[in-house]
Amino acid sequence: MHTWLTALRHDLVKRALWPARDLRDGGGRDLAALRRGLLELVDAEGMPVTAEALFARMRVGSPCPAAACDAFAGALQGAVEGLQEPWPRPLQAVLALEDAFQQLARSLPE
Amino acid sequence: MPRLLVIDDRDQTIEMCHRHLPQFDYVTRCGRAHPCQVCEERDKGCALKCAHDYQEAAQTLSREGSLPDLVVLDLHFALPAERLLPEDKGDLKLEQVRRKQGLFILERLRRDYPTLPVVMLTTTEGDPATLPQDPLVHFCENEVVDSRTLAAEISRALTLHHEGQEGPVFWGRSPAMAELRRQLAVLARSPLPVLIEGETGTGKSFLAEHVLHPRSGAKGPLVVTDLSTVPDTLMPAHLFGSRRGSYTGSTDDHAGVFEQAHGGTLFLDEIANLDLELQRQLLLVLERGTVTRLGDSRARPAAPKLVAATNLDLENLVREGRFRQDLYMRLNPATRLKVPPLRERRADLSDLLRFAFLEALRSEALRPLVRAYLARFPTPDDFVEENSDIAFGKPQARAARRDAFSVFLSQSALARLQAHSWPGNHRELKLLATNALVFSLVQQLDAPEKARPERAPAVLAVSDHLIDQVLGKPGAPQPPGPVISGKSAPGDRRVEISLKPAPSFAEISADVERQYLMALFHAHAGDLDSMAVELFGPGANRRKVHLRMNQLGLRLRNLRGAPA
Repeated sequence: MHTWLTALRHDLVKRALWPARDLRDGGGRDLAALRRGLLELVDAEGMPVTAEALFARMRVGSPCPAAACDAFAGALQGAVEGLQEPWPRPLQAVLALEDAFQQLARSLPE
Repeated sequence: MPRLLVIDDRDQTIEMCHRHLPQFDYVTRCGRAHPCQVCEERDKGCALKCAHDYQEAAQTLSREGSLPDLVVLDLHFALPAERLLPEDKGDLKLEQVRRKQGLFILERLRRDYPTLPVVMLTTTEGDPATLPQDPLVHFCENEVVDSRTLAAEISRALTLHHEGQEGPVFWGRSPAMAELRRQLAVLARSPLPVLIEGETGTGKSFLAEHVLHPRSGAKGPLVVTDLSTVPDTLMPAHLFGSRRGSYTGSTDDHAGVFEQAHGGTLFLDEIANLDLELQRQLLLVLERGTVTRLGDSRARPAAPKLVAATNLDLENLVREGRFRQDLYMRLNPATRLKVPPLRERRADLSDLLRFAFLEALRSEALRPLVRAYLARFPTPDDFVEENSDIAFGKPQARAARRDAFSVFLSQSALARLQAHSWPGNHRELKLLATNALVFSLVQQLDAPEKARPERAPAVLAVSDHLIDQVLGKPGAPQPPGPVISGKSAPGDRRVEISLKPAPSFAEISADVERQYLMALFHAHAGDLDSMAVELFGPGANRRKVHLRMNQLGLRLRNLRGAPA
């Protein structure tokens, strides 16, 4: 996997998906955990940053096609907006990032 | 409850662990029972935090009275440069240092706490060669991580770690040892004899003493006897006992080992050394459960659990007519055990080296040297000699425990030792550890005053060169021992003998005798009769030479296949 994708997965995708997977598998409606995973991130220097802002910074160095980056940014925006909706939409919206990330990874030529 | 230390730049990991993995306890920097990320003091401005970088982890570990059971370590650390390892980043790109910070931390952890198991959150998609090949490091796939996956990986790592060590026995991780352990657990509880095969020095008697006998539930004693060290003439009395006056020099009634071990365990090492007549008598004792002492007519109870060991292939000896088939079958060959040699346990070697070095370091024989060396260091009040540690890596004071003695071997020395074939197995390993420590300590103690280390913590580096020497690698300089090539009369044999330091005169003498007999063996092309004549004069018996060679660990079979 390209180092840029690895970085994106570590800095953003993993953080958001971990609590979402736990809620999917174990049940529960812990909206706060989803919010922390998606909104309370830090950048490479350890400074607080939101998921959207972090991706906007990271995509500058992305090797992926612009269209694929746009699609992922759309999924990310959907996840953030989904947090405002009634359950289980927040969970579904965050879990959708898993597929979005896979699409992004597949957009990169082998 | 297992205690975990989480090292991650983000609080998320420990928060998730705490919320979803209540089966574990967590190390905190303040000693409270719950992680700081969920502590009410955190919101009140408490400065204490869980380990977000190596420095915080090291502080936490040094403050803890006992080490945690396991470390959970992230790979990527998004931190300012000054908080990242290595301190001297040289030409390293900061981004790469951040992306692989977990590996830098792991390297430092292994050096400081070599026995601490680690679960690393990483990816297996990269080049596996870049990941450390350390049996105590387990990898949890980052991409699919969730609390259940992480809990399973932690539990698996803890199980493997605890199963690897059991009392004085280190089972390690090789499949052969796992199978041996499984078989021993069953056979220990069986009343039937146990046959153990394995090369010399693989620890056959150790397993009988520490596994088979303790787990047998037998109330009687464990009696261990090495049949290669008992002269033929005394063998019947040794095995079956004797009445006073039954043979020349027999001044008292004497119980043989079978009688002594009644109700317990009898370990007969080198059973292939028995001649055919003694094999027949042994079979009778096993069949009847009684023994009649030499010169006596009364049968006495003698029903120990028999554990027989050999470094030869008994099945082969049966085919050659040198071992009775009926006795062989009575030894329960269907369940015979095979102890793997060290060269088949390479994954365990770093742990086995640690044990061997620690055992040597704590031995009474080396205590005077160790004490003399430690006397050069300022000793903190909480210094505990028993906490001595062996680490693999560059010797650095800051990497050593302040309150204990740390011995360092380099990674390249470890690689050399792992590549060695270890023909003498554990026996060779123990000698190597002792030799390496003696040489290193003596070199340091004899070094000029200005070159001596004098600041705490107490560390000792075993050099790569020294490891080559004690391994006896071809081309490596020999240890600075004396070469004996004294003046000789015409007809006397001159033998060059090189000596390494040993803990006792007995071992030095044995080393001299061993080399002398080997030289004679080659000079006489393996003819023991002519060796006996040279050693003891006309009419001398080859048996005497053979017996002594066995006692010194010189096996004819091995010597005949070895270059002169």
